[in-house]
Amino acid sequence: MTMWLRSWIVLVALLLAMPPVHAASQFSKLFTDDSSEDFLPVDEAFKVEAGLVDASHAQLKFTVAPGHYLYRERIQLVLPAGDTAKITLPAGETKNDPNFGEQQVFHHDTLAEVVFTGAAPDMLQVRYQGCSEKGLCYPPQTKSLPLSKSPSFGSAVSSHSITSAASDVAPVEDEFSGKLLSSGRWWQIVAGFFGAGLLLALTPCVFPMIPILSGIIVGKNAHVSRGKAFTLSLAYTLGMCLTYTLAGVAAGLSGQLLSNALQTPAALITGALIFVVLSFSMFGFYELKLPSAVENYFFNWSSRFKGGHLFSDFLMGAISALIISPCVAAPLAGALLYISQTHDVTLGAVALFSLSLGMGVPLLLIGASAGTLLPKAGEWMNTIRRLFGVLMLGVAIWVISPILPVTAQLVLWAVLCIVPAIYLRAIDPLPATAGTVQRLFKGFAVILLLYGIALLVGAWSGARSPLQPLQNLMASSPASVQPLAFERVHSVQALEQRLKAANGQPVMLDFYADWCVSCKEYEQFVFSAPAVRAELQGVLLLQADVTDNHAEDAALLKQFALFGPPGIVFFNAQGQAMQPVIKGYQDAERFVRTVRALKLKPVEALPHA
Amino acid sequence: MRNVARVVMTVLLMVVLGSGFRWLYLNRHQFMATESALPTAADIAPVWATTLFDHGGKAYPLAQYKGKPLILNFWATWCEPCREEMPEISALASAHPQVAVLGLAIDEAAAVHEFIESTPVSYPLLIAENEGMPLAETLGNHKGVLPYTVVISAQGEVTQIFFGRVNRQMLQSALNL
Repeated sequence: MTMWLRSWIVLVALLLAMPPVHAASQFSKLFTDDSSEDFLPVDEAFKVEAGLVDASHAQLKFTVAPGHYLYRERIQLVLPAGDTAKITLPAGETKNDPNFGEQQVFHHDTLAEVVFTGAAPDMLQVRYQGCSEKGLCYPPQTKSLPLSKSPSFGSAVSSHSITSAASDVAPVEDEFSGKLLSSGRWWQIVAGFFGAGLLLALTPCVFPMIPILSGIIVGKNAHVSRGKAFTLSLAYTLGMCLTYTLAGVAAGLSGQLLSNALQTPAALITGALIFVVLSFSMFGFYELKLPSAVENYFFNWSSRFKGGHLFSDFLMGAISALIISPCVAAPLAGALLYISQTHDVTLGAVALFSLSLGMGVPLLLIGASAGTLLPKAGEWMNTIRRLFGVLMLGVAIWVISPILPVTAQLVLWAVLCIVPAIYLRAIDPLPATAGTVQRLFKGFAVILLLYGIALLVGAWSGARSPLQPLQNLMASSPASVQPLAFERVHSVQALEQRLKAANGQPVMLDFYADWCVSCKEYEQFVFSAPAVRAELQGVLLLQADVTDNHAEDAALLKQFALFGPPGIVFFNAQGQAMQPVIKGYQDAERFVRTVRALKLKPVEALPHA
Repeated sequence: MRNVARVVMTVLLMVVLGSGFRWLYLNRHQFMATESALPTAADIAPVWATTLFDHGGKAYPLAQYKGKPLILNFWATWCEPCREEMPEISALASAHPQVAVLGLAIDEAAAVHEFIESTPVSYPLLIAENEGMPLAETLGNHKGVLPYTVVISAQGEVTQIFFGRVNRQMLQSALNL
């Protein structure tokens, strides 16, 4: 028996030690500036894959580790030579370099298009160079990549482009989560997950575990020492942690696959519906749990083991986690989704471990008090439950927001603010004898109600962001400015004809769609600005309306390696497209700077000369 | 019944422990400080046989620096952290003439020339476009990063290596100045 005990202590210690050791090693990095020990070898910092799209068209996928960046200008094809192959890269982020001025860099994964004149060769040689934000650089790398039509790469690429075309919001979110990770704030993530676990522990989800646990602790012998009770509940909690940690590992391993698959409109709608269904269970419309037969079976099975065995407790913890997982499925799914986007197995394991540890805190407390500290069930538990319901509905709205028009989003958010505010008694009068807590809640409810109303007003007045619902009421309407006169082009041929006819005039081609929020912002804020108009004087303005996304529209977009609007391409006097192509929204000031940098017009005589 | 349970548990225990240790093993570099071993005097023997040229074509046989404390700074014009640290190295070189300082550029002569025009430094900058990275590797730069700085004592021993940006303080304490 003692041997058993010993081996289990080893296991528990191991499980307990691993994540904290890792977290600690990350933690210490936050405070020491000594970056020499933890930088990546160049091939881990930057990875490049090549895949053939069709006979004369390939794609290169650069994977950039968080905290690293590649210089756009220094990505070059070595083989085949420049006249038989042309590489097109998306616009990068601007980095200010004291010596070279503004440099375009990629902090994130990047797709480059390679077009061959003639058939694609068997081999592609690409040269690239990048640095780490930790203050070191890697020398230029030259990689030979065999070009073969690998199905996995092809599908990953196509699903990626679908994602980006589906909404212009998705890349921003990708960027955000990337930024959070590249900031390297592991402890923030860990603490966040631990906090979420603590909150989950306050839901009735953990309740089914309490009788199991107290059964284990008390077992057949009525009296257990406090230390022993704690050890037992620790083993039980760690068992629960094991299950969740494994789930985290799986999410980390699934990587982009999961998050890519989850970003199609169908998946977004399904996901949102799941959250809605789960939130309704939080409001108590129905109970979600495993069939009681299964639950009873496990319960009976567990009682077969004599209480007081560390291993059986551990196992019971692992199984109980499965039992209650439908109850916590929604937050769990959110966490797993988040982790799968990071492609980080270790992070997944640590995050889910801290989540489950947070969930286990009350269990540990119960153990430590040897069962005397069982919380009393009451109305407060249901309040927490409803709070989670509201949060889940919020998640549901957030999940489908990329495919909803902004007005609909605003209305949904408004509903989500106003209804809970009413439940919080925002408009019921307070009795004169109201206590502090009641008054606090009322104040909070009134704020929520007012914000909800503001959101509704925003929806009616055509606001473009839930964060600034009243912007249209505040801003003086720039209606007096005439919109720029764009000429419409519909196909690649039409564009070429128009470019030829431009006769040495520089040309601007703007991609527009009715459903593209940023395009409307361009119209409203950028193209109306006097500085922009001055800069575009004498430039032939073309616009491609890709609202319906016809094959011709797609061909036009593809020609400039754009996934969707907004996108603005400039052509010089010779009718050649110039780099960089503007992708995404730039405010008037930045737009003017970009246009100036392109030097569209020959240097004109100074006005006073 | 109890025996079956015990066997199952033992197997489970072995699986869990085994995967735990495997995970530890696979991630060992995260737990163990990767103390980079310094190259020995024998390792760096080829360095002394190297001759490099500055952008003007003047030859610098590295053997002439043997017997003096020496700082070798590998850099490139396209490497921003490298350029950031150079004024500090330059100040150290002019403050301590008894220490030899060399900058080895993984770069073209033209780029280095242009750089010196705008940012003069007080120590020779040698062109090592092709030979630089192999040389740095001989001197312990197994990860192939820049900037990379090596401190060699008067006895010809590598006493310290720095991956990434250095400052004057780090170099001075490495040389006991």
